[in-house]
Amino acid sequence: MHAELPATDGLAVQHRVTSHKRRSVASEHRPALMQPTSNVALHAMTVVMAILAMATFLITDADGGRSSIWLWGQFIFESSATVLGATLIRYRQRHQDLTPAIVPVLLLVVLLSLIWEPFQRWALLYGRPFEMMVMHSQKNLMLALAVFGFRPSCQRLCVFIGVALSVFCASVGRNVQIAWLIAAFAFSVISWLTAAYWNGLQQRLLKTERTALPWRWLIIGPAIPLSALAVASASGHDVIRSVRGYLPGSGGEGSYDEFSRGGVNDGDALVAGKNDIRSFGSIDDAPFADDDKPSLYDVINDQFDEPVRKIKDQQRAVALPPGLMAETRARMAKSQQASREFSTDRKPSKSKNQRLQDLESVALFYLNGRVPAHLRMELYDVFDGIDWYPYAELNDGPRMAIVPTYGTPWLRIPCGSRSLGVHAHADHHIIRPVNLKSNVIPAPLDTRAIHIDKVEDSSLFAWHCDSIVRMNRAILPELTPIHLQSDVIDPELLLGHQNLRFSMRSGSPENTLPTGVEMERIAALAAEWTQDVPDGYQKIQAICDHLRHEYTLGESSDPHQSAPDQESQTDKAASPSDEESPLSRFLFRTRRGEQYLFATAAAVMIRSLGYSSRLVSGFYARPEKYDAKKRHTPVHASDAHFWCEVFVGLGTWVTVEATPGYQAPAPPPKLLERITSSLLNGIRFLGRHWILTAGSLVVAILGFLYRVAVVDAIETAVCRWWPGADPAMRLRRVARLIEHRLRRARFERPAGMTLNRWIHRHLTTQGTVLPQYLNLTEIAMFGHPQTLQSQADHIQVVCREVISLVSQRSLLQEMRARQRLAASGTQLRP
Amino acid sequence: MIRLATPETTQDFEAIDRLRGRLNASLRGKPEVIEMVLLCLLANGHLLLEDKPGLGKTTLAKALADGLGGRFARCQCTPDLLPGDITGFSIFNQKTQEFEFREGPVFSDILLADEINRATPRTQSALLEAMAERQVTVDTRRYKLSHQFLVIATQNPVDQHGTYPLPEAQLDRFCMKLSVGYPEPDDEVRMLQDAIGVVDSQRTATASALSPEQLRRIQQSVACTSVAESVLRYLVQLAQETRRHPSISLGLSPRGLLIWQRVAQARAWLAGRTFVTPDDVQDVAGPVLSVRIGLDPQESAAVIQEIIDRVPVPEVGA
Repeated sequence: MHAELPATDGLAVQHRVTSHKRRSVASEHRPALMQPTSNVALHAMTVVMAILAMATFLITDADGGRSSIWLWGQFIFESSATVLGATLIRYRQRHQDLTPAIVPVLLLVVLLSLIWEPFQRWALLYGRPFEMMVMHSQKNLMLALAVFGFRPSCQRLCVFIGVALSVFCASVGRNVQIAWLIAAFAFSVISWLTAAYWNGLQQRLLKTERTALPWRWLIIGPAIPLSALAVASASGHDVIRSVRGYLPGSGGEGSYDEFSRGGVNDGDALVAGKNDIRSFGSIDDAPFADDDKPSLYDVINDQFDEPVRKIKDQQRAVALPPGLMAETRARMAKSQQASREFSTDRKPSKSKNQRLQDLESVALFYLNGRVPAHLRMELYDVFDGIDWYPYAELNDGPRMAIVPTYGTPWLRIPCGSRSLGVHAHADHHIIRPVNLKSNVIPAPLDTRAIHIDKVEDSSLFAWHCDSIVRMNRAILPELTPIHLQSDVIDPELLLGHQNLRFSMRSGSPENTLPTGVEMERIAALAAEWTQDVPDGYQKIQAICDHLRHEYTLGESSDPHQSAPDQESQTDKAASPSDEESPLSRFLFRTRRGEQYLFATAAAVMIRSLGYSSRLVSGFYARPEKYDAKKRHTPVHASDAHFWCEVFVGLGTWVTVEATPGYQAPAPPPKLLERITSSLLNGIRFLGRHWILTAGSLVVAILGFLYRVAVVDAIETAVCRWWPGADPAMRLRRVARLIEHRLRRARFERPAGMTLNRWIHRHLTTQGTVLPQYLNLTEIAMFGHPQTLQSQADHIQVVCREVISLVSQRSLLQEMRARQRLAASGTQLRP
Repeated sequence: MIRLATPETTQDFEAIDRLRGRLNASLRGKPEVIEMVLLCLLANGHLLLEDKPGLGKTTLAKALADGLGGRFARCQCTPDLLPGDITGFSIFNQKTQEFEFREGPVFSDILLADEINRATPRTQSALLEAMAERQVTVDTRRYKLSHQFLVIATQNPVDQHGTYPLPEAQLDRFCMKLSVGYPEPDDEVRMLQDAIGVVDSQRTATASALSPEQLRRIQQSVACTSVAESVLRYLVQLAQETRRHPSISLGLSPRGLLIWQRVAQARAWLAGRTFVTPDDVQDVAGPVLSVRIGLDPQESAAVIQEIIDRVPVPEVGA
């Protein structure tokens, strides 16, 4: 777009014709009349833009290598020099008709910037790379052009260099603040373009009415997205996450666009974590560390307290069916030996909070990718009423093979087929073990492929149990990104699906429940909850819904369990579990319990309906923990989680999340869902800060209702207390105030009428103050303002009286009176 | 308060007031027309009165001549009027055996050219030099006219048969065009009362209200009235607007712009100011522009108002 010269066409022509003549003649031939000069607003916008671009460059140039005090100092120095220079030049040009020699000054600025570099290298032992040196000189040139921005040509060149500088900074800069500065710069450029275009238009259009810069829209337009961004950045991860993903990403947030450029910081192309070794980085080739670390079961015991010590001879309240017992007895024994089984009967916690904090301090691993994610570590099928027994270790499972895909070796994992047609999305996750003392790879359900850089030997991997893979080493290699590709099932597709067979072959442990009175009660409860629900996935959902809504997550408030002084008693095997199992205590009495009770309850109840289910332990990567800045989610010991899975046929299992506060995995939301969730997040945010919201709302409503009074009060105060004692300027300020008051009272002066005449025509000028003021203003505007100096005190008094005489309120009252007259059919005075 | 009250300026204002009073007395109920005539006089311009017969055009011209104490000449323009009838001619003197120059009506202080559009273009153009340069050239000899030479031309807008409309070049030499219009009934009653008992309209010789030197001094100080840059720009924008306006075939010329500025200065001076405001410019826009933009009176008033409304006055805060 071409910004129009503010000088009118006729004048511009005249300028060209007379320019050579004027150069030879003395400069008192009113060059100000001939020179094209930009208006103040455009010049000010140019200066702001230049300062923003300068700040961006300063940060890019420093590249984190200079202290913030130094940067601030440099910023303040350069910006104030620019503002002062621009003001001074403008003042000289306007009041003294002096136009500086622009081109020599610009040349000097560029040359000095370049000459400075060798000196700096020699004297300060500090240097810039070549491209920075060039851009540094361009930055100085831009600032100098901003100073001379009263010339439209300088202004345009300044904006052009500013844009180039910002593009450069955006491409090489690594600092987050740069993004904000560039956004602000972009807004200011848009505003400048609008204003320049408007200005040009103004010169060409026939002037039917007074036209001014559309300040309101120049401010409101960029302010809306800016404030939205500000709110988003200030309101925590939820909002940021909800905003993210609208642009194509390289996989970091689960949205993957094949046409996106290789992702920086996340996605396919990880870059080296330079600032923090624990940040995600391209350390795929890091040496595989090996040491002896405690197992996952320590984590579980830390999180959920240790199980109640079992009395060898204890008679269980419930028992497994005899058929299954025989089959699994050996496995159970082995599990118990390895402490792999999981008991739902656990000790009451003592000082959990303190310990949790300790656990939070170091993440077990970091997850890069879409959250929430259920990362499976262990599967349990056999349940004896109190303890869960894990799947047997799979020694001769299906063969896994490394298949190179696009040059990277991927371990293909044979798992359930996709032929049910319920898989709706493919996810890519990267986990980076930091402190995870296990060799089992925490992976989502239906993980199809695993990739560790440079690992091309499939013998490094082995089956841990059904569909869970481990590495053939003591623990997972620390700090090594493990890429996981998995399929995600859309629960919506399961509803009403015709070909689901929820039951595995009869007699398999996933179908089997222990016998006993308690189990019958639980089965009855499950039947009651799913009474009117159609068969299939709806029944499973119904059970989950009941558990999620009618039960509370938390420590059991059961008096038998919670009193710490009873621990010794508990240790002496006088456990309350003698009377009832923790599950039925949870379901029927306390209705409050730890998450494993929810998962167990869901699994048991689903089994009681005749469907196959199993318990899964692992980690739940919480969306709340997602670090928007580093773009990953730390997973701590406190994120150890239990959930259950339901068999839906053809080797396919579906994650069922019964614990309140945890979300079941689902494909990424569609655009509409994302917008809805963004809105909901916004509403939730407002609800969380309701006092602030209500306060702001009240202030906004009051401000809107009394906007005229508020604006007038501010403007009056500014007008009254504005520094400077120049009487002419004072008179002009008051005139501007009166004009604004007239405008606010809808008495807006037509463009072709002077304020003097407008006031005389519309206001009763009783007394002498107003006519006196108007005469003085005419002198200030069109006469000889210097003659007013001698009457400064008098003018101050007159101005003060006029401000209170032509008050906003009186104007509004007058306007209302006229409106009433008009309404009653009386003709208004023209 | 605004103008420094020196004895001279006080005298000048008093003289102008006297002249105004006399003009008002001779032309009842037309103070605004008289104000414009005064402006035209102070701006050292020529006046075109366009109106129907018998509305007091001649009376006004005569009263002005009386007030200025200058010579008054009148020439009734007809198609057979020759240029020499206006400028004067050389006649051979038998006694002295030399050509003698007989001055025409232009050698006066106030020339009333009645029904100027009835004169042939040749005769009309004879007035050109006289009006613009305040001199006439007859038989290669140049004769200076009175420095306060003022042409008051009249034309009848109704009866256009056998007329030669004034060429643009000549119109541009007039400072302004006025129309007197019918007086109000009350003023007509008073006019009739005044006429009772007066047999002849012979004037009683009275002292002039304004001496030629005084007028010259006033014209000089009018020319010195300052015009701020913002007002200059405003004037230029107005002029450009006349050139752009679709109804106006010939926009304001730079000469017209100069005259406009001078008339605005005169108005500021009359208002007792030493500087021109946009109001001055607007107030004199009608008469100054209507003589130049070549539209009929009703239309021209509307167009001029439209132009004034369109062009924004200098901003308060600028």
